[in-house]
Amino acid sequence: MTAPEVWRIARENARLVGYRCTQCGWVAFPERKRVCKRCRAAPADFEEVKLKPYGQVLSYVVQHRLPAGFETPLPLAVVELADGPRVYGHLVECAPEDVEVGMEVEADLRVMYEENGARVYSYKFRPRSLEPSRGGS
Amino acid sequence: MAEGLRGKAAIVGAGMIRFGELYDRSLEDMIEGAYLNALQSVDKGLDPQEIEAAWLGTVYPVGGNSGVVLGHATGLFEIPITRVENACATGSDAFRQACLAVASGVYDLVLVVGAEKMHDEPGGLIQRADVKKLWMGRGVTMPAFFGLRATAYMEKYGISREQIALVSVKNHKNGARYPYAHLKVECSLEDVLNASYVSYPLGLYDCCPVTDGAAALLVCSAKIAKRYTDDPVYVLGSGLATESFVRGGDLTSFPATKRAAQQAYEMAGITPEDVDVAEIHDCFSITELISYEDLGFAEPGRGARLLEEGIVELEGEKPINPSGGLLAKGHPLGATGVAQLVELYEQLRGEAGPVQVKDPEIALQHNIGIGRFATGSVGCVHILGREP
Repeated sequence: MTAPEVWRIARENARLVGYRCTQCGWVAFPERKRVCKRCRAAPADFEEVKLKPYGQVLSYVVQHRLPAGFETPLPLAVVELADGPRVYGHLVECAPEDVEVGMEVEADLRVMYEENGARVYSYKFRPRSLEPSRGGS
Repeated sequence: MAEGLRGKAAIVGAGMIRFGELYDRSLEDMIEGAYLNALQSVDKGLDPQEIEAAWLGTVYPVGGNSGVVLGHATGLFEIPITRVENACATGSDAFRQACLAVASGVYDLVLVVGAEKMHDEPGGLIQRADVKKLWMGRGVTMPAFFGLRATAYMEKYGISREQIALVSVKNHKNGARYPYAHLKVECSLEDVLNASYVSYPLGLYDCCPVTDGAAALLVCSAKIAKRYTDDPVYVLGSGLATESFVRGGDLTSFPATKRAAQQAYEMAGITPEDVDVAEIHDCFSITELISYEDLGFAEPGRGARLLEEGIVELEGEKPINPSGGLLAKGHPLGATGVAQLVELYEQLRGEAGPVQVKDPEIALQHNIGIGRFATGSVGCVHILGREP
């Protein structure tokens, strides 16, 4: 992603901030919206939500063929966060054979890549521990 | 209510080149080949001067970012040429636009070409799984996008890997007989199950190859179709829709396919039971299985029965992908939808040779595209018939 693309979603990305449509309850993340892509309200009223940093694995794959820059095998999931948004996420601290549909996972801020000497952070997901999560809310 | 498309447009010529790793042919060479084959297929002949407009479906900018490459390949300058791009449904949408233009009465005879020079595009599809993406599509290849559906589908319906693999076995069996297919090799269930993983649970034989190809159709107003052939194929319905899984719903169906199919069935005034033969989107084995259900050929979770009972085999009641589908024929993105229609044109006219199915009257074509960094999808469906 270009620097402006990262910058546009910097706050949402680093703090897990989403926007809930007051008409249908759908949560936009990470982009800040003025129309709702679920109920089509246009303009829609969105309220800011601090997203809970955990959710469930809706489905997953284990990636074996990826370009340079990834370590394989890589478990990759569609995670539904507790507040509703669906995101792609890499699973860490979890063997590929231990991943399951419905597994509870929590978001953990990690370095995703470096560009022009700057580290770009975002979330990966790991099995949710019973202890309160560090990012908690 | 709007009138729709039924009976207004007809196909009077269809041609394609044999798909494959065509290192010796440029994008223009491929378009030229498909165009010439389409022209030569017209029973009563057709003068290129009669072509009033053209649409080119292509995804990669190998030929530059316009429709001009089609003019260079065919000599059809001085007429409108529009380039269409809509992910892997590109070729289908190009055809759709041509049908709408003919049905509107603006043009009587137009050309549609779908083409893709996959091997001139540096990087290829796996490289698109950009490491430098946040939230959208990070590390998500096309095998992963569809692998995520496979995992969800197996989990929800208790379907096995073996049942999904039956799609690959069937399509490679058909592809081995289809003259234009890229891969002409049969594979066994064991081959599919023992192949190396690309994106677990999908292995090598669950994935379509990387293929170059081109296909072309001549579309005219139904009113003048008999001028070119006594045996035209009529367009009965067309549908297109977009969707995104971020809106909700589970991952075991493609709502864009359901919507597009609903539009096309309503326009054609038919039901899924009326379809005699279909070319449907099997970029991956699981895609075909899910599409049986989205198109109304099976109840949710019951698609594998069509394979187990032989219903969708070449000799079955409802043959699906007699061409071998994308898995065997190959999937040159922009060419795919047009090639599916070329095959169905030949099926309906009884010209499909080694893969001819028995006396089809109505055919369905289905094409899916994935866009916006693997967060959205396009579905496109056409219904063709021997009678308007």
